[in-house]
Amino acid sequence: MEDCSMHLTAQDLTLVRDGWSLAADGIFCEGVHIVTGPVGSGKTTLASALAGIFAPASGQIVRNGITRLTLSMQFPEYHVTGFLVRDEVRSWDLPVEETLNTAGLGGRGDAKTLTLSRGELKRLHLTCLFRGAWDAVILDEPFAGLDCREKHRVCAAIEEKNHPVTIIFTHEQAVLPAADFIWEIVDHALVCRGSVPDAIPAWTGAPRYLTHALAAGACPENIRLRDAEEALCRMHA
Amino acid sequence: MSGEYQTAGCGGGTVQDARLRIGATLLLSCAAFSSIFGAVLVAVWWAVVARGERNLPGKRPATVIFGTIALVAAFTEACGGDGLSYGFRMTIVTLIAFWAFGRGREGDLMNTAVWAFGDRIGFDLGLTAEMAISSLRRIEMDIGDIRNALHLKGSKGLVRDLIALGFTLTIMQIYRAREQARVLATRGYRGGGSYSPSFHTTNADIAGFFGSILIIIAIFISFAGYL
Repeated sequence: MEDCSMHLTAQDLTLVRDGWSLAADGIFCEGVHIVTGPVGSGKTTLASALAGIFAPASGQIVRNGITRLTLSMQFPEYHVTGFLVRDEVRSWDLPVEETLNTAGLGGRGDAKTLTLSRGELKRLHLTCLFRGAWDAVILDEPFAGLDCREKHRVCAAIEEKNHPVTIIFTHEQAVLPAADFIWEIVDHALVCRGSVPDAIPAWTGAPRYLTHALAAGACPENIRLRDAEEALCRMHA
Repeated sequence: MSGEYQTAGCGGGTVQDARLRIGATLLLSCAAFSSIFGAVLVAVWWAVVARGERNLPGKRPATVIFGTIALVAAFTEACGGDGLSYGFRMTIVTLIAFWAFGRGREGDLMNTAVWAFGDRIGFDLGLTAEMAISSLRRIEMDIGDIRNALHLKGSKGLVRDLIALGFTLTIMQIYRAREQARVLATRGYRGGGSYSPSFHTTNADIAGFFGSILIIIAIFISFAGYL
């Protein structure tokens, strides 16, 4: 993996929970990292450990140049501290109307935050989080509970790269953002597949559109559906 | 509704039979609260029978729980009451509660309620108790997650954090309860149901329960002597 000044390092990490364990060793440097693995493989535990809220059994997490780090948990309810939607936005020190409009919740400032649907709450939470000045953002299943349109909106926000290090833990198979690095959790260990696009053929948990494109002999430049489509078009052209 | 419960693996441990454990918990709690003598006997029972399975809480929750007991005891003592006795008895009752709660397995209360009260009232009682226990365990996890989320977001002060934690937990529980009710209604639940309770009784279970009966008898004898 290339050198970078700002990075998050999992150093000989062993995570243990209820008789289950996960080994992780690697450097998350600047860029967008996708970490995939089946449900129950330890994505949430690893995300929590990298965020510093789950103590590893051994090894350590080293933050190099990273002072502001946050984690978006899978369930947005946990992050709620404002009774009303406008209070919730204020709790992130953000302008209310502008943020609500960005989240597609314009005029809902007086609604009770926890009466929003799971999808709306996730939208609000991610909008607030993305607008923060973070050095590193860890997203645990950011696409869960979102419709296709919102997933694309989240992908666009990630691709803006407003935060130097973005680590996405997901098992999403349909809508993904452009990524710089691919990681997988395989047999209780975190495996780095390398940088995109070279890592794509080695990615065992790749979405079907990518495996289909690879099987057809195409070479997608990134991991989005449109990258696979463009690669197929280039090949046929 | 129908259900069948197979007792999970029974390696090690004491009082695995839910009937005996719940019975012992009731008897021991009454005995411990009745008098200092009873509390001492229950403390001995706890030291012998519950060893290795005391399920004591972590430092912080223990400080809050036992600190509250100590505070009430001190206040009672200061007001001329028997605060020291109260403090000791409540401490033993609490230790028994930790043992009983931590030792429980999913389905224990359902098994016991249906065994004791039958398929109608017993089933409803058991179902309610199981849902309550599973909610408590869920709340325990939620509190951890919410505290982590608050930590990441940046604390706004203890009081404001506690308010946020309280209302989020409450509303989440209300939503979950509503969803559970819908699921039960969708599955045709109208009250009562068929269920086959099963238990695994060991000699240690019988000995532990028998010990709690002996304690109650000893307390009755001591009261009789006193009268």
